[in-house]
Amino acid sequence: MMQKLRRIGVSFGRVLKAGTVSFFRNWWLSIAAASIMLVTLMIVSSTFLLNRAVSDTLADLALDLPVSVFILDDAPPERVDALERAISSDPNVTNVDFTSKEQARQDYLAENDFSEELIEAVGIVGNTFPASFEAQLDDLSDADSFTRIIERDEFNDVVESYNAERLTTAQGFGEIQDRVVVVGFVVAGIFTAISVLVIFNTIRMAIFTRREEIRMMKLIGATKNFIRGPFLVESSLYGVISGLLASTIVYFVMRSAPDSWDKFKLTGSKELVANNVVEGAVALILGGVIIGVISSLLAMARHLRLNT
Amino acid sequence: MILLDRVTKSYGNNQAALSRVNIHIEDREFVCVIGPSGAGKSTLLKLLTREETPTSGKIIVGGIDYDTLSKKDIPYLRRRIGTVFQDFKLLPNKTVAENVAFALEITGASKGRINNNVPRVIELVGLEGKADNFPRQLSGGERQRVSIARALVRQPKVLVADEPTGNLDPKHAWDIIKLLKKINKHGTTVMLTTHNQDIVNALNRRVVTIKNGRVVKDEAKGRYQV
Repeated sequence: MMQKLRRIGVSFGRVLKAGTVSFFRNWWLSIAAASIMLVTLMIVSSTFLLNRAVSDTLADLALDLPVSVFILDDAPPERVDALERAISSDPNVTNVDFTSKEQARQDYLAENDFSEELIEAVGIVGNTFPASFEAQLDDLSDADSFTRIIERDEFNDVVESYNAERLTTAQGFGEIQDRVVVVGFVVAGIFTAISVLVIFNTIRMAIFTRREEIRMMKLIGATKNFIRGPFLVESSLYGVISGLLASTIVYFVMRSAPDSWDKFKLTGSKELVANNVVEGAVALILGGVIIGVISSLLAMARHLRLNT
Repeated sequence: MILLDRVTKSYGNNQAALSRVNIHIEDREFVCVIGPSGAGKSTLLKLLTREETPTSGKIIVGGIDYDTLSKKDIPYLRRRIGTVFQDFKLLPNKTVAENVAFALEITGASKGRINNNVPRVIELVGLEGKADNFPRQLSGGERQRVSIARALVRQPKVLVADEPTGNLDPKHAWDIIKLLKKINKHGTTVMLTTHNQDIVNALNRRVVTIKNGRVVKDEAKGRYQV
């Protein structure tokens, strides 16, 4: 048993060596394959970080922009309570504050430093400020359930209006985020497909140039795994190298990003990169290795005949 | 050691490459297989190395019944049969020692075993001093010696040589035959296919003649007559 394990270990080492030698022997093809994979991994990373930045922007927007639901002056108090309960029942609503007519007037005056002219004017026309609910939404871009509640017929005698434009703005951001994700994934998908094709072709050429060697290996008793192994190692190396490069580039770009970029809400993305250096590198390397191995397996299934 | 019992190999509807071939080769025998081009000699060797499977009939080599072999057993079968090719099949970017060692490396042999066996085999085939040369730096005869050394390094009981002198001048051809005789003397069964009349006649060993896929002659001390 131990001897068998030792043999497997020795063979694995030799397969690793053969794959590495092949990688450097075809260095021009290796560079091309690793470069296209690097571009793919950079696009995937950028999509991920951009998505995070847009999410952060939306989250900030949600905090800054509570939605106000204005109450009719003559709304019966029990109907106002019913509306509050209904709003609070929406899972997307994190907090509801009630502002009475008097509080609204006071807030307005306070915002204007209790200007005497304003106090006089308000005194003449009376308190025209409506009472309101200030609802804090978890996801402003998905406020459908919230609007359905306040637009219910049963609340026609309670709700005067609500600031729908804030929701429209937020929904606009949500749509941008969705588009960023879709475009990002489409571009990443296209480049992943190009990577697969390039690596497929690289391995196909490697199989072609080594066909005599492969035939000889078969005839003197090399197992399928011993013949296939170096190709898998070679294609995995594309993934390892491009993953390492991509994670290094992302790390340094985000670390050296000027403060002026923070207006694009990149703080969260920068923290994410800074706090997950190892995890990020491992994820990118793993992604690269998976793309490489799949491409290599496809090329071998198509071009490496080992059944005779 | 080697038994072919009513072995037939057909490709499609064409005439059979081999038809009901019966050959029994004893342990430590030296057998020449001769015949005109297309007679079926190479097919016979391909059947022994399991590059081809027979359409019908039974093959047993070294106690291994080929009918019981699965695809994953084939590499292990080939490790027990030394094969020498007419075109050498050496790795051009490996030295003589590395080419020979490669046959052991694929079996997972330890570095110690490789370091122990490879120089001995290189010496046996008379290439001491050329272990670090690349194939391109060797003559045809020397390359064939490397091919033989690679086949021998795993100490197989059977050595199959497919026209090993086909690409060599007479002097080098004779050197290779002398080497095969020496290997046979050490106890390895040798099966040699050749077109070389002088070699067959001078060897004065068992000769199996194949014509149109059939064994037409099998003589204990035969001469080249096709």
